[in-house]
Amino acid sequence: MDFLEVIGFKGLHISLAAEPLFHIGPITITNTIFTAWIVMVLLVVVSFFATRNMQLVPSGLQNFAEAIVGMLYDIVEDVVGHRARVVFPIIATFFIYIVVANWMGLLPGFNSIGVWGDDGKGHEIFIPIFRAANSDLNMTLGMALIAFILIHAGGVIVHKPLGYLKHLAGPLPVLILINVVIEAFVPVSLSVRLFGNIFAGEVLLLVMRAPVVGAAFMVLEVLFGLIQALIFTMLSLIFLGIAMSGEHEHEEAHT
Amino acid sequence: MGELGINPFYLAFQIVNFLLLVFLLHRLLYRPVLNMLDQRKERIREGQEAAQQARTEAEQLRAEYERQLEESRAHARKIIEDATAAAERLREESVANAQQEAQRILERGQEELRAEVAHARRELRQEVATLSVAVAGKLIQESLDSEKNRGLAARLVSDLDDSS
Repeated sequence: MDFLEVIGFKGLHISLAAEPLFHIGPITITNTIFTAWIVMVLLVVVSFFATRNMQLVPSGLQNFAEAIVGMLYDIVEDVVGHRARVVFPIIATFFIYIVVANWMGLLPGFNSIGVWGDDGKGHEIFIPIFRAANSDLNMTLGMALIAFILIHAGGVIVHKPLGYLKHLAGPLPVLILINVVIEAFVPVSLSVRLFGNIFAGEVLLLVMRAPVVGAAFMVLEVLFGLIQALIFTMLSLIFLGIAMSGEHEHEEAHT
Repeated sequence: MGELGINPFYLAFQIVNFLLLVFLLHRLLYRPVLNMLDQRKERIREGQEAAQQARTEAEQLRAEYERQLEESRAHARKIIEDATAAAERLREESVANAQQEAQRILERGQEELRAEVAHARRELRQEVATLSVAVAGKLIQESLDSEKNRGLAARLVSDLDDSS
């Protein structure tokens, strides 16, 4: 797919699919997986140093970690109540991972430092070494599927399997079909929204790479990176809250 | 799906990747931080309770001290009053003693004075009698018997006494 050539940017190339970067044995590692690993290592290292020597009176990195974790925990607790402790790690990781991955994708070198290589189908293409992790549908869909499983596992655990079926049916049993379709599209909308925004942001920054203009769009992308992380996290959390709550709130939240 | 880049292997790979991150962050970030937040909350609650208790205790102590202070003041007042009364009594006693003493000294003085006067008078009387005899002898140039002399002299002296 050569978007940019289609819209008149000859010579520029950006592919919807992540490009293969290198091989570990039989496994081909793509540039988005590589970036995801960098984000993971960064988060793990920062977390390690933030909590290595916890003090009752916090300072520095510990303060920062406590502020973020505390804020996220309050939000999760507001929605799911006393079950917050169980679902918190996944919900919080959605937010922290997505926002760091999105912002990292804005660093210089992303999509611009790379090598010419084979795309696996015999074509010679430019392969950027660094590519925003969320500009790969596998990444966003993977997270959306985790959210999907979390939402419905939460519903089943809270309402018991039969109760959850009733919960899905709502006031009218016929509605169960509609509700199942709605629920099935939640991961699709979650993943495509995030992917679309980040991918479009990359294309936009590539196209608008003039001084000043580029900086303005960069500011916007910083904002979008945060907003998309918030949207993904909050929607997952709210759907989870709905699945775990009684029928009454279910109706309200869908209207 | 291929055009979009969706690949079941990479999808599973990313899911495992992400769950690994969830696990690592849970161990390294969420659990220690949330434990610390709980611990701090607990510590603050304890601190507030301790502060409340300390304040109650302090108020009790203050009431106790005030009561003791009031007692001490009353005690001190009583001591001062007693001391004042004792001093007053002592003063009155010493004044009375002094007056008595003065009175006694005065009386003794007067007595001595009276004795002195009486003595002087007696001596004077003798002196006058002797002098009168001498004067009378000189004037009369005549020797009278001593009995008449003495009678004359005694009359003269009593006349002198009467006239003085």
